[in-house]
Amino acid sequence: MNEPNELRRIGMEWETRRQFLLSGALGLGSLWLSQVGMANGGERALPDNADRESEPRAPHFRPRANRVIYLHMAGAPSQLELFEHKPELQKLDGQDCPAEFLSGKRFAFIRGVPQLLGPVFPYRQAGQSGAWLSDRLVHFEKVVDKVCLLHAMQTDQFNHAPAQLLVMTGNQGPGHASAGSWVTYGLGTETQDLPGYVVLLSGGRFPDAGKSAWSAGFLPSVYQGVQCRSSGEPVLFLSNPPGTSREMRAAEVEAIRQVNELTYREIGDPETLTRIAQYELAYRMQMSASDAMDIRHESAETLEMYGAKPGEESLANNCLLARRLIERGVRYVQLFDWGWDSHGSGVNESLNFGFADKCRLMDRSVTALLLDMERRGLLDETLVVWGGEFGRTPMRENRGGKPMEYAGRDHHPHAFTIWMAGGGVKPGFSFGETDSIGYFPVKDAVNPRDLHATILHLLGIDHRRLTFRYQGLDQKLTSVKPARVISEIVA
Amino acid sequence: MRTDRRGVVGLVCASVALLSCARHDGERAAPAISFATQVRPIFNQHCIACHGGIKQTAGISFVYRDTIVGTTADDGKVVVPGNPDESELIARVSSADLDERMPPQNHGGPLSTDEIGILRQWIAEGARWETHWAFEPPKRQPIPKVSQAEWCRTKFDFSVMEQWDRLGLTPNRPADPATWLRRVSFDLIGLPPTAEELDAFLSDASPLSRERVVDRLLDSPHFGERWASPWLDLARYADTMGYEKDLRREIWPFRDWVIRALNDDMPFDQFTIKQLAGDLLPNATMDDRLATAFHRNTQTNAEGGTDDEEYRVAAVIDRANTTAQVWLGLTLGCAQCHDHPYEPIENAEYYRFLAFFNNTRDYDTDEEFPKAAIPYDRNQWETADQLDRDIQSRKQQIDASVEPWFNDNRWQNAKVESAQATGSNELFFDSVDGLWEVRTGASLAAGSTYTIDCPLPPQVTRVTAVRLDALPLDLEAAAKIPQPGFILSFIKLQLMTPDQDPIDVPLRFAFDDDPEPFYSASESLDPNLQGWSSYPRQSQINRAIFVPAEPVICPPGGKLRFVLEHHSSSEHLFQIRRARFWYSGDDFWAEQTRQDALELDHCEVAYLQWMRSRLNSISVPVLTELTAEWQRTTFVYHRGSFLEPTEIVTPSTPRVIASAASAPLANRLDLARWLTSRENPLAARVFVNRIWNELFGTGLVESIENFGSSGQFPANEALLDCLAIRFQSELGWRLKQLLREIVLSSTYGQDSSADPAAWSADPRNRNLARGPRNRLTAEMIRDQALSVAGVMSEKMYGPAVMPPQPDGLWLSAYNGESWHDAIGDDRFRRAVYTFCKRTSGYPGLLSFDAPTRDVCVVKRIATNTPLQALVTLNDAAFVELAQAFGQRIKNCGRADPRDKIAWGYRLATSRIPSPEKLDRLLEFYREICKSTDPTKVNAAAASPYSIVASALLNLDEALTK
Repeated sequence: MNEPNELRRIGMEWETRRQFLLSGALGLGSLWLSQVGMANGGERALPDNADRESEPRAPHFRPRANRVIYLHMAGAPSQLELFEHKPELQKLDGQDCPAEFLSGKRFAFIRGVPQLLGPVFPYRQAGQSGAWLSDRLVHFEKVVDKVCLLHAMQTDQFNHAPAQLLVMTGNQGPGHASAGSWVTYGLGTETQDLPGYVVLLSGGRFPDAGKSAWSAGFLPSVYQGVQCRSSGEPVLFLSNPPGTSREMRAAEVEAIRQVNELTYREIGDPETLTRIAQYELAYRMQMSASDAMDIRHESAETLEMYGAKPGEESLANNCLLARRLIERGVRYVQLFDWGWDSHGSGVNESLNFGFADKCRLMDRSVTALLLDMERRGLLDETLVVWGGEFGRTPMRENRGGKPMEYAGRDHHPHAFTIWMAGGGVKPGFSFGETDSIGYFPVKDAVNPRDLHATILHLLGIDHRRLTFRYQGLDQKLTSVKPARVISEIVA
Repeated sequence: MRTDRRGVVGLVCASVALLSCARHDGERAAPAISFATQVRPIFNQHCIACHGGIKQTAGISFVYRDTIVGTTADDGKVVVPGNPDESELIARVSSADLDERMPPQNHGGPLSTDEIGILRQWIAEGARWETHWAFEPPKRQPIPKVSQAEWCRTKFDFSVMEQWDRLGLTPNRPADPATWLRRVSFDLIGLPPTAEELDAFLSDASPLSRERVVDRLLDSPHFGERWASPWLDLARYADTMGYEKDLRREIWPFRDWVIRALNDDMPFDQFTIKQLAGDLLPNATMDDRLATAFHRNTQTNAEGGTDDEEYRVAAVIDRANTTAQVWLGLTLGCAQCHDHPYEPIENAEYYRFLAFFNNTRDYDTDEEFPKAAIPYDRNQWETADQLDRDIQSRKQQIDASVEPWFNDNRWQNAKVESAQATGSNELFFDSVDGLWEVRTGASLAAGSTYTIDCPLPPQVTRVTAVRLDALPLDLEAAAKIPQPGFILSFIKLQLMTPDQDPIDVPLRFAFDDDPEPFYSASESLDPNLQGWSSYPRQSQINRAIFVPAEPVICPPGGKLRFVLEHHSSSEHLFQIRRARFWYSGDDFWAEQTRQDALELDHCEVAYLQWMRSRLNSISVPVLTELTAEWQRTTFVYHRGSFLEPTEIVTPSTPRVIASAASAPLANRLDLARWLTSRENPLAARVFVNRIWNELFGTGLVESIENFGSSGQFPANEALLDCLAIRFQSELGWRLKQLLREIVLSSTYGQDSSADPAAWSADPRNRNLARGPRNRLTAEMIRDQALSVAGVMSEKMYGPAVMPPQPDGLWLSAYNGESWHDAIGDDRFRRAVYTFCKRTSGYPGLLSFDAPTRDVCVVKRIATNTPLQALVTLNDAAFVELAQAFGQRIKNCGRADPRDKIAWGYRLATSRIPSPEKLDRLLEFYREICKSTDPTKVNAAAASPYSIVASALLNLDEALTK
């Protein structure tokens, strides 16, 4: 039953196809569309059974932001070495972890009785807000008054892939739609020459959840994130094959269009119209995506600020690209930076070395992103989110029952820090508190569903009303479990 | 209270029936209200958010009749049958008092006057409650009378036309023969017709020409390759394990099994039984066991630090959900945390269904145990089966002879005098309830060796065998949530005497009480093997008997020393956490060793195993069932969390579909047989609907993944039931027969064109008043390009292949594998053989909506995006094929470019181009010739015909069937 809902869903399927057609009507296709008497955006050419009130383009209420940059530090950076100042933990350094912290708890690697590990780096207060930052965050001091720190983020998954899926898609299992897909499904995209939802990777690896982290899940696949690359072809298959010039390609797309028009006249299938538009869009995208992904024309000062080097695959380049994409109307830019899993099992996985290196790059490029966005007037309407999939334990990891060679911490789902900045978020604000060693929240805990509800809210979307009917259920990013908009952090 | 709900419903139905007989005369003449199509939708839309399966506010649920429909005016129920004015429901939905009115203001607007009218009339008519249509058996109906009987070629054409007669529609003209041939070729074998096939068909004037084509296609080995893909979507078949590491999984023999079964036209009931429970069939063959890999396509989480029980449960949940999706068309997973929101399926019923799947031996281990060794050469399968059976029966004989010897009263519990462990581990020992045991403390580290000394009483002069019991630390807790397992890598027994150094006692035999452990006790006798195990988890006591080569003669004051080595460095600390030690002086063991009886048995098994190992085989994950005494108890998990087991449940199917008369089902085999029995109203309908969706692009029930009450009604229920009944009876569950009937029907054979008014009146062709016209699937797009390029490999089966893909796409963490573009034949295999990596699917296929195969996918939503254009225009894998196609066009034996292009056009679209289209393409060709330098036209890449070929492959007509 729920026929109206079902119709709405099917209407949306048509809508996804039509949106491209409509955009195509502004380009080459419009000529022909006007010829065949469908100048009004081609609407009459299409079966018009899309339910008007489910028009996915307009937000539910006035948005505070209209774009998102989500910086995910894959592997889960230690909150205790960045944002969580815990002098008490310092005092307990080296002591056996009290039994009450261990009973009934499951850990990924900690076994038996681990020792507590004091913060590896010193802290100081920064900015007007007086937020505590570790000395790994040097540049970040300049923007700390622009961000809102959420100190009591929680999850219920303590393995990377499921936890990343949870924070990206609202569900720890595969097969669900990522937040970026939901947002582009809800709001559409402002650019017709670029994908609405772009994914950028650095750190040399996929995030642990792989492409499922930007999957459209059960949503139509047009909403899946499109991975763009800062080296090689910026978008897969963007470049013409060797021997095919831009002019030849133009002629080819034109020939395809002409023949397809004739086919449409013979058969009348509206999918043919959509296909005409898609080929023209692809042709334009070849140009515009290459241009968007080319950072060579950025000023030396800008490149320096980010620490970006053309041709490299780095978080710095990706932060700069995120800004460029946002400038061009991309709705959702998702960054993954792999390599934050500081267990202490080796130099690169240690807090004192590998983590410190990651921080150096992250500190500079993320700070630059916020400054650059602000000076270009983009920060007000762009929501920037930074976080990992979980936090790290206050205990030193003792994998297999033996303390690790280097300083490292195990996965910790119960409390970690994320931050948000930009569109509609209270700047220079801290929300949530953890206990004296950063083990559990004592105040204002936030779970991934709350985070999703809040992101959607800032974009003008009511998370309860952004639904897609699948398997008999109105699926939501925030699932069927309770979720709340964290109104306390909304400016 | 819930348990007798059925009974109450029955009673209520009977009284309602009486009531509805009693009324009638004098009542208004409006047609009777249909509960299913008019009333339930109102409940589902307005009421069930608060009064549904999950929230049953005030004890009222519009999913369960007995919570809302009363029998008398004063029994407190909101509906009084026959009396709308006395019914609280009507009062509440029509109340002017906003505090009274339902739904409450903040829960959506009030019901419309029409809706209230429907409810009133429904109550007045006796508030008859109907079972949801899909839960009733399909109804066989006589062939209906129609306006144009001569148009109908098959039985179900009549059902289609009957609907048209009612709607005032008429059939579209027949598709032109070439279009029909293209359509049927893709639908049956996933490939376009060749030029020769087109010529042959078009010149065949026989009235049986279509039958001949269909039979040819159904007999083609390509049939199985085409129809495997939709089944593999359901089976979530992939070549990797999924999650973080996404390691390679060798399970392609299952894909081949599916292709073979389809080509053999294995009836769907057998196809079902083998895949769900082939291992449980009497005398299960290699083929049966391989089929069970269906449910080993669940993901395995090899990420470090994962809880194997958590992901074992996740896999079992996936199996239950997938089974419900594929054979019931139901979203049973909705009842995992609470009662189903829309269907009368209770939370506990979900776990009763899950219980069918909860007793397989697999355990989310990286090795993906258990596996079947499948010989590469199918001719060896019978031999392998025979050897496997022989080995199995010998082992069972040995186990049977040893089994009574696990009984406690044949052993003496050894007192423990000292227990030491290496590393930071501490051991404690004590006598608990009269039995001595050793336990580990809180501080546990990997790789520890335990040394346990057990003094023997003075009267014990001879030890013929020892027994070791490994226990979970908390036996009671382990029965609910399995506890960490152990791997005893190596066991050493020593005799300690007062005046000598310890004397090693060579151990000759070891026996497990678990008949099929992943690593057996005998492995603990060899330090190079894995060792005795309960791996990776333990939920009850594991016992092992160790027999020395010679009885141990013990002097007075002698002690037994057990040295237990654990070599695993895993973070899971596979160490024994609690142990009891036993010894025996029984002559049985002495005799066994003296007479070499055990030795002979062992040698025989070893010989058979050696014979078996000579059959070159590949190990494929399969289902095997735990033996009776090792079976798991299934619990209801509170809110779906395996850490919160509550009520114990036993297997059964949801009551809403299982007829009360049906015999109880004990295991997977019973379930599989029930699923394809007449008692299940859904399997045949769900299956034929999926096939219909595959051919027509839309299912008769559009929500092909949901046949429940929140899904859609069939566009033509008579047609659906006609097909379902024919499929499971006359057609003998044979897919080829079903397809033959559909593709030879007049409905299918219609032209797909329509005027804009008709398109917009019925965009998704629910009324079937035109022929199907769908975009090719991802696989067909690649296969067509291979075919027209003339390079498609005819090779079938075998390991997955890697056609070209851009570098740098495989970046899984902690996974050293990489993509290597195939060379030779394997570069041009059909798409079904393409390596499917879950976290990084083949981009050319994903772009065209092929799923990642993470979970069961019933429906690929066809999209139409610019990224698809980029694939077919620019992907090197396609460009290569366009070039080959271009060369064929160039060398097609015609001189005139116009003829060449026409030849290519026909190959790519199966049609002869209109002169106008040909003009355009010729113009394009000339333009390309101008911009290419003829002196450089040496490489196929720069040939104008390659560019023309690319354009042809990108035409709407080429991408559509």
